[in-house]
Amino acid sequence: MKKMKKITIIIGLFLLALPAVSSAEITKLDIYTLGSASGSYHRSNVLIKTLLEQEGIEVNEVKVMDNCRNFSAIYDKINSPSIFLTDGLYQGQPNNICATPTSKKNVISQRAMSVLLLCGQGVGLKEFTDPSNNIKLAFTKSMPAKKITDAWGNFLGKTVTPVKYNSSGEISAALANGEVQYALTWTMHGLKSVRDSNLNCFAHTGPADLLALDGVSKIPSYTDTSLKDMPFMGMSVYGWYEAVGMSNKEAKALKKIMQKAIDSPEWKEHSFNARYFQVNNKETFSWAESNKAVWTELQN
Amino acid sequence: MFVAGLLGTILGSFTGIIPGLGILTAHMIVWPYLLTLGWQELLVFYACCLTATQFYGSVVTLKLGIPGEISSFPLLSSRPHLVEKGLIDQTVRTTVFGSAIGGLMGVSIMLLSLFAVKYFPYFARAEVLFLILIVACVIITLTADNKWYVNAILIVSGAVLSVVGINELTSATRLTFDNKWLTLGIPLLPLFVGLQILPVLLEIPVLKKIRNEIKILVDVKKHIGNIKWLDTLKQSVIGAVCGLIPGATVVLASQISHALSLRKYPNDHATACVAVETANNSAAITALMPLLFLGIPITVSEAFILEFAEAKGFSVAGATSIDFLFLIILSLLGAIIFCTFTAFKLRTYISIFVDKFGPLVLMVIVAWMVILTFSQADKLYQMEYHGIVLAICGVVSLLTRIKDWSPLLFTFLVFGSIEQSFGRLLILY
Repeated sequence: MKKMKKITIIIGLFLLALPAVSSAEITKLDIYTLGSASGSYHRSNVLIKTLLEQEGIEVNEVKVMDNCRNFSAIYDKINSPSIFLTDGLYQGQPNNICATPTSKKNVISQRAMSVLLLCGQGVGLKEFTDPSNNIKLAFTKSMPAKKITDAWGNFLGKTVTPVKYNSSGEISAALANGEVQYALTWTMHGLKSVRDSNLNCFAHTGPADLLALDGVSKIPSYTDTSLKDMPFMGMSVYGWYEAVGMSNKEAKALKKIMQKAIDSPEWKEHSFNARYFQVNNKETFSWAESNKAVWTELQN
Repeated sequence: MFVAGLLGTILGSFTGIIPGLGILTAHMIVWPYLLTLGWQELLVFYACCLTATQFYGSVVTLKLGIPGEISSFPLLSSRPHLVEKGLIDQTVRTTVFGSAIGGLMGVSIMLLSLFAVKYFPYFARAEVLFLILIVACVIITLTADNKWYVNAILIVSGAVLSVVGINELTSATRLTFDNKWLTLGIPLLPLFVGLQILPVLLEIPVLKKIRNEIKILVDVKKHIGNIKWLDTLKQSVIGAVCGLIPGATVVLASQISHALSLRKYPNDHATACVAVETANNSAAITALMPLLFLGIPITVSEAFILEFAEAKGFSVAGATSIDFLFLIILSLLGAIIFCTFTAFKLRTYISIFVDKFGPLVLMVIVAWMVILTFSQADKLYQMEYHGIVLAICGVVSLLTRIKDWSPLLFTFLVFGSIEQSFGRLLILY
């Protein structure tokens, strides 16, 4: 009889716990993107929205914050369940203007790693490393260009002048009109210029060869070139999703659903098309941390 | 393809008529449809949409004093003169032909300049960009519809307001006075609505004046007769060149053409309005060329559409094929012809509607712009900040009663480019 009573209590407690478990599941959320409506982050989020909706989560809106300051300001204020796709690029900027806090608790999923391409218009690795000719190197606005070029100039024994541009489109124009000869660009922008404007990308900052858009030719990793000891060549951007405005339980439940989305064939195809480097899920946080460390060193 | 072109044209027409609905927002609204299009259809849709927006912006600007699109600012300064002379309705209709001629010239220039495609990126060189934008500021200071020193103050104010916040190229904080909101920069929409839209409510008595204009018969010959052909040709060329300047395109084209026209014909504001419409239509078409032929987007909306197109297989090689060129030119011509015919008639209906319900329409549009401002602020969790900017700008505009804010808004929009090109000049030379 006593045993029966115990079983009844256990079942009763279990039944009572059920609503608590189910309420831990998020049914509605917003997705915030750092970057422009035309960027790869946004495309990733649109796909994540579809995949989450297939799992029964209603995604209200994919909000685009083309200004990292707005993105950062919202992060501090948000109180409804949301996920933020962010990266370590802005960590360590003066006044922490665009940084978002990262903790193991917040990171619910990896996106993947994208690398930077070192490219030249009509010039290549030989001219880049030749100490007798000073060079001008284009960067996009978010990059800590001066610190990179100072270090590279020391390494190469020549002057490397950083020239910043607002967008990748402006960099393409600057390479085409001869204002600069070299550029450090994000993966897809570089690969598209290789395809469309005969840009010569002779190294990238990732760990292994990168497949060009023709599906045949490859861009070597810096580790396989004479640039393997050049400072900061390991820099890359590791994207991750952070859960904001939800309880730990809710974040944990969402993490499982996010993992399902990331493991889906659709995401794998998207990831391949965007030429992301995949990282083992277990390495997520350490990657994010090491990524943050590189950018913090560069920004300060 | 035909359907994509037609739908693009229709969307562009709505975008031009509804103030505050920019081309980027319009494309985001029809996002699900864009996903179903191939890259050729996508570019045809975008090109037709962009062309169509330029046909309608002048209607609400001239009739109600609210800029339908960002390139319509110069029309605002001509509006009081046209109201005074009872020429609003006539000008609203005549500008259709300016738009059509500008569009056709833009297409012709696009065809003629195909052999010079490789030179397009030279318009993005730091020295070219800097020089052109500085010349534009000088021309606007001398010609905008205020005293020259007021224009100079407005230009400086626009520049100062644009540097508030954090410089994204240098990460330096400027004019923020340790205020967390100011680090975000001055938001464009509340600034624009406060300075230009709110004071429009004081214009309600002016609407009555427009209503009393002698009705102009829909006489095509008469309107074509009002066009100064040689000047229109010149404005088309100016517009075509401005269209190739990154970040400036139609805004620069309309400002410069308006200023130059008024310099040549000091009191002929109707001709100046036609010049604006001619130049910005021409610019809208040539602005497409770096995107189509080099894969280089020079405006935000182009960058947006390029990402979509690339996901669907766009390549420069494909876009420069004879088949596609033929297709895009045919689509643009179709959009221009469609807009010319519909706009002429539609403008008449809009004019009649506005004449009948003027004050109501005006109040609805002002309310819509204020709601738009606050809804955007709400999305950014910045209601308080945007509200304060809106209120300050509204009060400043009401107190100063400055007629023409375009010098301030122009420099606010382009000063970043001026500063960046100057910074690059210092580094490069």
